[in-house]
Amino acid sequence: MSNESLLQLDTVSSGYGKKTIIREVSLDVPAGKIVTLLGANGVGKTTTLRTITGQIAPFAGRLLFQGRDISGLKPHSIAGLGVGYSPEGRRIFGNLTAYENLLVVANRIKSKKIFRENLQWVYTLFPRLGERSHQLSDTMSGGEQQMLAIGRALVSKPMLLLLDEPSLGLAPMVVKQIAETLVEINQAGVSILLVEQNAKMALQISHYAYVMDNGQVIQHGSCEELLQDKSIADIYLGIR
Amino acid sequence: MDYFLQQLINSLGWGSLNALMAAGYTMTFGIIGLVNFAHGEVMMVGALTAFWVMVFLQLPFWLGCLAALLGSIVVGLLIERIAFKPLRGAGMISLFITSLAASFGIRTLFIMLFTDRVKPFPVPDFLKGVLLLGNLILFKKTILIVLLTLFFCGLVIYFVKYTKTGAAMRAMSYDPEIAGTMGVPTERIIVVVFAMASFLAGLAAIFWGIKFGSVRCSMGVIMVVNAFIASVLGGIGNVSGAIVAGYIIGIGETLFVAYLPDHLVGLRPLFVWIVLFVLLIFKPSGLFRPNIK
Amino acid sequence: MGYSKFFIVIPGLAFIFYLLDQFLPNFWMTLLLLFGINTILAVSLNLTNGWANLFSLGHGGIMLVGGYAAAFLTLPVSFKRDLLDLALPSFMVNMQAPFLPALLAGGLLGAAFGTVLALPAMRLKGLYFLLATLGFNFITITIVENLPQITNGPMGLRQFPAHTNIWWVWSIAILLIYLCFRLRKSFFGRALIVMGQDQDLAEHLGINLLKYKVYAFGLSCFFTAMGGILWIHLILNLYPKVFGIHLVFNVVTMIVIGGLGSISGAIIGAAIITGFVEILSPIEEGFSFFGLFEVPRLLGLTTLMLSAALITILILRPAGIMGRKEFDRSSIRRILGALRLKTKE
Repeated sequence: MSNESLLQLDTVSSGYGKKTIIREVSLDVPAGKIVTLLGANGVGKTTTLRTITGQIAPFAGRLLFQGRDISGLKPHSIAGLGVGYSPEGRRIFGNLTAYENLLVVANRIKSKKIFRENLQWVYTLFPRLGERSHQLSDTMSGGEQQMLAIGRALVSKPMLLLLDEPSLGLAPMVVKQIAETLVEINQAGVSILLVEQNAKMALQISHYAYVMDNGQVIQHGSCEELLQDKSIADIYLGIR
Repeated sequence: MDYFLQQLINSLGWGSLNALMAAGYTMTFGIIGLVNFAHGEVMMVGALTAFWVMVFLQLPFWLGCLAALLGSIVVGLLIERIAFKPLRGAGMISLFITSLAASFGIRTLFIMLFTDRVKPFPVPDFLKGVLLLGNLILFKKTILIVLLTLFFCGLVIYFVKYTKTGAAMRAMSYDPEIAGTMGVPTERIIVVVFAMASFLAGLAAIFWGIKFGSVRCSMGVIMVVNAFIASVLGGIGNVSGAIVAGYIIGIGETLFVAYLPDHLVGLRPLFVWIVLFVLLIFKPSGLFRPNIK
Repeated sequence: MGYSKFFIVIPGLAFIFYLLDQFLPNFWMTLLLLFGINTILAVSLNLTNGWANLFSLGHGGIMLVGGYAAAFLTLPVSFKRDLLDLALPSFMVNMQAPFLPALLAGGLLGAAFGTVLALPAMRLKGLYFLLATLGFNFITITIVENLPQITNGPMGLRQFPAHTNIWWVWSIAILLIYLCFRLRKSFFGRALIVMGQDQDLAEHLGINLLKYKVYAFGLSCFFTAMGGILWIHLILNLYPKVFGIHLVFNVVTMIVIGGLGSISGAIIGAAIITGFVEILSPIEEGFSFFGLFEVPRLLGLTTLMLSAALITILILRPAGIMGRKEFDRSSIRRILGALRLKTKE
């Protein structure tokens, strides 16, 4: 793998309370790439992301972002280093308008000018958000809410974008549209760690993939390799 | 009719006090899910500080006001730091009991220091006197209280509605966990919210002193119940809703008492609880859109 | 086993009560009675606040209602007829009932009030339930203070006969504790505890939530009202103000310190708070330190210390002393086992 890794998990274990959910997970997101974390429901993918964002502290192992250990930092400090996060189930602030959802993120952007530029960039990626900027986000459609969740993660121009199940509950057309936008975002220089159950979409756009089962990484490789590996493709990815 | 209008005018001052307290109350309620019984004590400490500065130290009125605001902010932030911050993430009931304990503790401490006797609150001459509007009497101090209340409430509403810190506050009320991952410095925002709420409580303390000409250590209890019920009425976490609801409660309570037979005036405290029960049964989310999930 | 153990336990307790009644000095007796009353209040509050997770702050109002009902029965006729001018039915004015009917009547009225309050409040969840009960407390006191024809208003009542003694207090306390330990093993108790921890789960298990909530509340209020009546007949006066949020706060402090949801915790909490209050109250009154210097009156010191203690406990040990555990036969065995291990070493 490439030497310049942006995010590195080194045998990280984590969970809730005393219960361990993920055990000794190691993975690597190289700068400028899209990496996918695949697996069925409840195998620890979301827990992995929540550990990276600092919502839960790892029990053991190291989390390196640009070579710096970020385990134990507060979520907002980790976000401040350049990690954008689109959580599972979107979790947009339903009591705010679309624009205000983006404005919340401005708390970590010093200059108004940069915020305006970033906002413009998000609106070009998702023109719908620009049209709906003053609509209460609770009243937007599922696809629009997903765009808003991704846009909210991007408005700080992060180096790394963490996406948790962006395709969940969306129509195939919208999923396709979002997949295309993700490629566009990646080409603009943002590395992406994508967590998905929709393996087909994820493998189409990713450079590299990890497969999780029962709290551990059981396989990893380039997307072609994984698709070649019949047992993995059949059992875990549901693709023939 | 004149009696009704006169009572309505008289109730505006009390309505303003309720609005100021409710606005601060609803902010802390929304942001950390705290039913803050100690918010009344924040006001009381402000009032007692002003009394101490003006009566004991014989300093001028404006210094007393400044001292009230400072006293309220300091005590508000201290309570937050000592009692609420260690309990972040505990249930609403634990937080409520903590605030109850903080409230009793502070009030008792002040009663031990100052006794619970009514204390004079010197009001400068320019606030004394009345204006006559036909048959109606309008106190100058009421005008000042209402205007200043509306001004500061306007400022707070602007801040909450249009600044990025305000947006962050509302986002935190809705989903504090995700707000953190979006880079909102949650602890700092909580401090800002407590400082603002305590500032409003300090203003309410000054206005209480001007309105009644006196303050006392047990003044916070009535105020905090009204403020809490106003914040439920206005939709939890909704600042402008709380301000409107504060006026509704204050005006309603005054009129309720005005039309009670004389020997039943003691039933005054019932009014807000009746409002609460009616609200809980028919529209628990309040009159306006709450800022929480 | 069967019921034969009762033939040993009950005479044994009676003998102990008799001995204590005869030989315990006055100060310690008062302390023991206060401890017993606080135990009744704490253990019965634990039924709702600890087990069923129906956090009530309205039990002061319940005590007040029960207390008045009992007072009208037990007050001397001369006091009711001559000194007060109350709009009571004449048969009530012209009789003085013994303690047991007064206790039961007050307890039942308290339970009835509790149930009536609980029915509409049951629709509310968590915090809103708590606030509705808090409102009930405020409202009861306000109404009682403003009905001078019936309640003598804020002046309250005096001249109570000193009925409260160790027999009444500790019989009821032990009955309540025994009942709670039995309940904990019964379907009813388990249903309550499951409901308190996870309402949805309880509903899926087919537990009739409303029924159990009302039962729990009624039972708790029955004993709380009796506790209130015992207290009134110990301190021999009744002022409505006393039953406000402060009183409930003290009982809540007991069960939070002891461990919400634990019967033994409630008893330990009651013991600690009773002792605490009795140690502090002479200091509150001010005293002279060996004639060297005067300690001034510090009224309110108790409240101050209790508040500080409660906040400290909530921060450092939110589960309280016992957590949700109980101190029963198995824990005694465990302690004995641990001691034996130590002595062997």
